[in-house]
Amino acid sequence: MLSIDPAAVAEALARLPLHGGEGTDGAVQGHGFFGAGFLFIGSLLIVETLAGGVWRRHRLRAMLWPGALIAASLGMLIVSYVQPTEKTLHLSLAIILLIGGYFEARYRLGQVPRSTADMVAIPALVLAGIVIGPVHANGPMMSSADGQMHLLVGLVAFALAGIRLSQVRLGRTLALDATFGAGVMMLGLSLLLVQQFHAGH
Amino acid sequence: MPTPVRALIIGMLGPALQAAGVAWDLLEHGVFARSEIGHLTFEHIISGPAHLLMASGFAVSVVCIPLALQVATARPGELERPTEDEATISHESAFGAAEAAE
Repeated sequence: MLSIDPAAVAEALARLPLHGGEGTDGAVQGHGFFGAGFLFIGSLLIVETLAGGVWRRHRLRAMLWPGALIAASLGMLIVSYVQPTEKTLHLSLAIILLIGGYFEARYRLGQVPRSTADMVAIPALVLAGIVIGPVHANGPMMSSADGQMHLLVGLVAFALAGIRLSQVRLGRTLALDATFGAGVMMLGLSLLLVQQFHAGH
Repeated sequence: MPTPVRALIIGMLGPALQAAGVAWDLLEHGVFARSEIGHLTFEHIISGPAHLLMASGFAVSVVCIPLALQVATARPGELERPTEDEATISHESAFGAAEAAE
C-alpha cells in the first residue's frame, strides 16, 4: 500500500524546480513539467487553427500562447535561481522565452505586425535550439541517450524556426499553422523523452 | 475540412493524449521496468513522463471538449480562419465597436 508522508511531500515539492540527473541525487527533474506545458499549449495551437472564429469568442484564449511562453520563462527563471549548475544557460533560455512571449503578445494585441514578431521568433528559436541541444546536452553527445534526447529537443526547435520561416515565405495556411502546433507538441514530447532517459530516472 | 471532422479532432485530442500516456505507462511498468512497480515514489508519480502526458491530456480535454461542442454547433462562416490583420484583439475590438455603432 502506498503511504504518503506529509513531510516527504513538502520536501519533494520544494525540490520540484531542480533539474536533477547526475550529481543531484533524488531531485525531481524539471524537463517533464516543461514538456507537459508545451504539449498542452501545442495542442491548443492546433485546436485554435481548427476552431477558427469559435476559438476567438473568448478573447482571453488568444493570449494563451504568449501567456504560456511567459509562464515558461518564469519557470526557467526559478530553475536558474534554484539549480546550482548551468545558471547562465537557464537564464538565457528564460530571456529567450520572455522576449518571444512579449512579441507574440504584442502581435496578438495588434501592436506589432506578424513580420516583426517573426523577426524575433525565428532567431529566438534557432538560438534556443543551440542552447538546448548541443550546449545543454549532458554527457557524451552521440553515445548517451540523455545527450541524444537533448539534441532531439534542439532539432525540434530548429524545425519550429523552419516552419515559421515557411509561414513568412508562403503565408499563413491552415496546414502550416497546424504543423507549427504539432511542432510545439513535438517539443513537449521530446522534453518528456529527455525526462524518461535522464540519468537517475 | 467538414465541421463534424473538426469537432471530432478537437474533442478527441485530449483523450488521445491520455491514451498515449496510459500506453507509455503500461509499456514502462509492464515491459521495460517491471521491477520498479514495487518501489514507486511520490516523486515518480508526479514527475513520471507518462503521468505528465496523461495530465496534459486531461487538461486539454477540460478545455477542448466544451469547445468541440461549440464547433459542432457553429455556422460554417464562424469556423473560417481570420486573416492576418483580423487575427489581433485590437482589430476585433475595432470591429465590435463598428458593429455596435451600426
